Amino acid sequence: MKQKDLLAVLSDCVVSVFATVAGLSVRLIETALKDNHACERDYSAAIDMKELATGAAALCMPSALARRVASKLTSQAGTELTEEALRDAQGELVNQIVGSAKVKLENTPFHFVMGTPRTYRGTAESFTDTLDLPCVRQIFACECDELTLLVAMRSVDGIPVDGFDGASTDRGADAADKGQRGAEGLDEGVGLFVTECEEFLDVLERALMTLEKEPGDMGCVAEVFRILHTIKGNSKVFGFDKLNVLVHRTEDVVRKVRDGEIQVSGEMIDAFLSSVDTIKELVADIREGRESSLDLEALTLKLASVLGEGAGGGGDEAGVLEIEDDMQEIVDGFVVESQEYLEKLDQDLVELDRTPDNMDLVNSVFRAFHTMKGNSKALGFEKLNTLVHRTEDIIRKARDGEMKLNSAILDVVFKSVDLIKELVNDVKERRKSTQDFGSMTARLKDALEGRVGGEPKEQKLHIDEEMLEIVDGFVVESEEMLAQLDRDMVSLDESPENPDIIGAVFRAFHTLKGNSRALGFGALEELVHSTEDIIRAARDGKTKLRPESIDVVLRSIDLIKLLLDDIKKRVLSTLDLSGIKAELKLAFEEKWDALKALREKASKAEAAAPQQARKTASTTIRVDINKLDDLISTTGELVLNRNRLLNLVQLMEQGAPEVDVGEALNEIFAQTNILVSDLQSSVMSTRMQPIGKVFSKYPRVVRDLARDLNKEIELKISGEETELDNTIIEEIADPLIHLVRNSCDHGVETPDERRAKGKPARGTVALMAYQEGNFVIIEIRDDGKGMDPEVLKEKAVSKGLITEQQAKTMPKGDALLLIFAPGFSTAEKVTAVSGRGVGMDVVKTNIAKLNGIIDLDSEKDKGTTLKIRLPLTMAVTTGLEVEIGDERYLIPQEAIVEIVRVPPKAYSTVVKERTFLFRNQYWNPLVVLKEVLGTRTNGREQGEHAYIVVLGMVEKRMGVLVDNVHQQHEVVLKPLGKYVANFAPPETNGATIMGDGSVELILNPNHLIGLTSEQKAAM
Amino acid sequence: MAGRADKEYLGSSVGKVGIAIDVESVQEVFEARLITRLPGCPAFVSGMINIRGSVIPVLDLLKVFDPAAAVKRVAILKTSEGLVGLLIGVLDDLLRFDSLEQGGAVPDVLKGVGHVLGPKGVAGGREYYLVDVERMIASTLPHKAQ
Repeated sequence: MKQKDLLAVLSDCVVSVFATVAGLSVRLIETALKDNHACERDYSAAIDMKELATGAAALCMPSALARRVASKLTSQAGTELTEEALRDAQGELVNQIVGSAKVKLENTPFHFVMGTPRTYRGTAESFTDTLDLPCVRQIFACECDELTLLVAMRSVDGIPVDGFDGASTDRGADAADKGQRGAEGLDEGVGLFVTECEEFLDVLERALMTLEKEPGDMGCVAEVFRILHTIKGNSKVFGFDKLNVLVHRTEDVVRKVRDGEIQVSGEMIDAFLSSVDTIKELVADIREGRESSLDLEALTLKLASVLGEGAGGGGDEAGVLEIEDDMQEIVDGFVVESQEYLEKLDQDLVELDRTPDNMDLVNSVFRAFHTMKGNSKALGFEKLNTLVHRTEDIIRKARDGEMKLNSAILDVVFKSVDLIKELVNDVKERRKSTQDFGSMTARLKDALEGRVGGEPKEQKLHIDEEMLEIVDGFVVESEEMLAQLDRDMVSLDESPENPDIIGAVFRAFHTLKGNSRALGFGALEELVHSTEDIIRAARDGKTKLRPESIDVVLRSIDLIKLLLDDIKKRVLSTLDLSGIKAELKLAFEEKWDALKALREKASKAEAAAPQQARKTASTTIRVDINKLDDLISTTGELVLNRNRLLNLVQLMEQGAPEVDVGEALNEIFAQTNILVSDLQSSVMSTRMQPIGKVFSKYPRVVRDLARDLNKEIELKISGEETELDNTIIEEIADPLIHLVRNSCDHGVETPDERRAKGKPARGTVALMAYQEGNFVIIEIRDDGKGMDPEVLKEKAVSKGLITEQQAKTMPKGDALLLIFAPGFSTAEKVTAVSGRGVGMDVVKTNIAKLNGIIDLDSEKDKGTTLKIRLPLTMAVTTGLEVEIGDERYLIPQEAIVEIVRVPPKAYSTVVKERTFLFRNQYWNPLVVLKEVLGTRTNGREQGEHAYIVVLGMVEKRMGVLVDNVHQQHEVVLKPLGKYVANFAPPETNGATIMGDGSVELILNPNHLIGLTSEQKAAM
Repeated sequence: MAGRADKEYLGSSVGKVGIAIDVESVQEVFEARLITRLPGCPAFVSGMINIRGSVIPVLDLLKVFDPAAAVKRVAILKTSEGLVGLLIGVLDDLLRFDSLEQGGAVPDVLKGVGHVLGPKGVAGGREYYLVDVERMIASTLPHKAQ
């Protein structure tokens, strides 16, 4: 190819490239003009920078030249920035510069440039018309210390380049002009591209740090996307393929975040930052003019795993796995061997779960993974190899003692083994794996780094210290508002046009919206706002509230509660609000069919996903200011009493004879006694909360249930003001919900069934609470179908819970209590609501933990009444002190029915028979406490009385035989502590400290009563 | 193995042999008069004591419990399972070791805790075996039982 032709081709090519670059460079030219302070001084006042930059870019003028042009133009007063003026100025300058450069370059060889040269060598002589060069891609102009507009060419394959003939100025200038424009522009373009990239990358890094702190900041996401998109486009223009691919992969992830398909996570930010670092290195390589040797496989995999894809980018398409003929047998062998390893791994891992410290097992498991890793690598099964490798890493850590294996970690390993099995099976079937193992690799990474568990890592919500109290107050107030909103929305269901309720609901949402905005909780504010819109439309008469819209609002309230919960826990919410937002929008626009379709889809997804408990124990409670005043007053009096004591001590030291110490002490003690009791009551009362706190949730629960079950159920509540210890209230909430749901599901019949029985179609569930002495009774009563004791017994026998013989003699009360036995469920079909047979026994256990007792009565077709008796408080209890041998124990007073004295002559009979006659009416079982507690010494003398303490729970009666009984004590319950909890001794509930400083154990009456059933069964 | 001259240990005699506990693991040494037996727990759990209103379990891992003794010496240890008391024998002075050496046969009196003993050092002419408190407590827990 002749040089002339080549240059023409190259020039055209370069010009078109440069034109593209120029289009991007208006900003850069403008920046360059402004950055050059000398220029600014010279011509900033005279010339519109933006106009000049635009004109320069249109002429494909590099910024350096633009500066010179600007300077030239300002020296010519009155020059207008027309294209012609700019071109003329450029032309003049180019000629000047080329001329001076030519002189510089004499005797310096020219070379065509391939790639990104920083330097050039060329001679004027070597640049002739007889250029003959293959494969020249680009021409660059390089700048030397002065503005040089030159074509620099580098020879390829050692063929010398005919040089630039500076003599024919026109042609040279023309060529130089074109070449210069193109060449210098392109190199300048690359230089500009590199500079621009570096600037972008700094901005990008800062944006990613912001995104890490505020993953919901979509503005930030958009900025990140824009930057990556620009770099991607530019790198494509300049042919930097490696860079382009990496930026493209990164941009793909950001696009998905921007489109709401995935959420920002810690792992994602890590991947992005790694990507930014790698992009920086690639850009540095471009700047230095060297080929990048970076291996991007690991980073690509990382980005793919964040995207949730398999290795190699997007989901692999299903297809045939091609295996060469001579490899078939080897691959088959690999499959067989791997399957054997996997089978053994299953067994070994189960064993390892039981004995995680068994190093032989750990080594064996490691070897299996290690072998499979090597084999899969050798055969080129990359996905399989990666998965096995990641799993092996975990076992290696355990083998090297850097990590302890536990069930959670082994769970991840088990799942990985399952996936490995599937991949091996794919190989066996000769099909390409379409398994998504991105999330598995992420879980393996989490397990390796000690972040096991199903829960995604929670990111902390940062709140300034001075705002903490305000935020806490906001949370408490909002929770109260939401509880009221629940009730109001249920009322609106009955009367959707009630303006008072609508007004109240609107005001509540409005307040919530304002408060969350003020505190910067954007996501919360947005959700509340969307919900408020629906209520506003109803308030303004633009729409009528329908059950569907009430449903959506109630669901929104649920999500608002969860968001508040996250704020309370100080974690950034990871809730997906896109679904509810879409529903709110459809409800607002009254698109009922679309809403219904969306709801059905969402319900399916909710049914498939496991229910996640998101209970956060409350660490704050509201206390009536009057109670606090009482506390302060009582404390004040105690201080006065202390001063009296002090005075007395001083008088004693002075030896004042007129003081009767005994009398004075008695008086002070009496006063102190009263004050301490008052103080104790006052402090206890601050923890007392009305049970209405729990009851307030039930209208909503019953309403939702009734709709789900197509029943009509009215909920009646009374006694909400009954107070209970806050701890008990929090613990009773779950069991109570379960019992109420049970009443609705299994108790109350459908309207048709009820009408057939002559009952009103609408069933009633009544929830009551009242105080009885030191106890609170909670009653759940329904007028449903009741329970048939015979049916219950039959079911229990069929499930092997009781024998037929036991069923024959079992009284009605005991039969009804069978529903609390583990594994018992009479539901003919398990509904989503209840009936899985795991609920009631857990309810019973939870209530027992609170020292509560359940009483049940039921009549077929009339209804069921369930009573729960709970102590007012768990901190203090009254107990009867009993003596067994040398030891003393306390038995909680509430479990004691009576104390019976055993005359000496009856003692041995009673011990032998293990029964006693209660009130000369019933024979009841007896437990010898000495044997149960393993008391070794027998302090009882022959001829002394013994005592039976009769314990009662519901209808059950039993006795415990003790050597002696002493007085009742009101004692403070002390937990036995974390260490002892490991052994969970069933005989004791806790301990207390007596007046003499000794520790006395409090017996567990439920356990003792349970012993008699075992005793019976053994007989 | 060089001992750390700045590290102090609580020394106690078990028969003719001594044990040393890193003093940073020890909250206090308490002289208990009453230990309330706790039914339903393994034999090495002697019982519970009251320390300023808290109920603390007491373990007899060194087999020094003497029911007849009027005062039982309990080292209250700070562990990951909360405060746990360890019955100890005669209390020695606070010890420092210039050097520690590994291995050697575990004396019979310490066989019960042999698996949690560390290196031994000599102070005041007597050998003391260092006790790893966390390991000792962990080894008594149910799921760790062999």
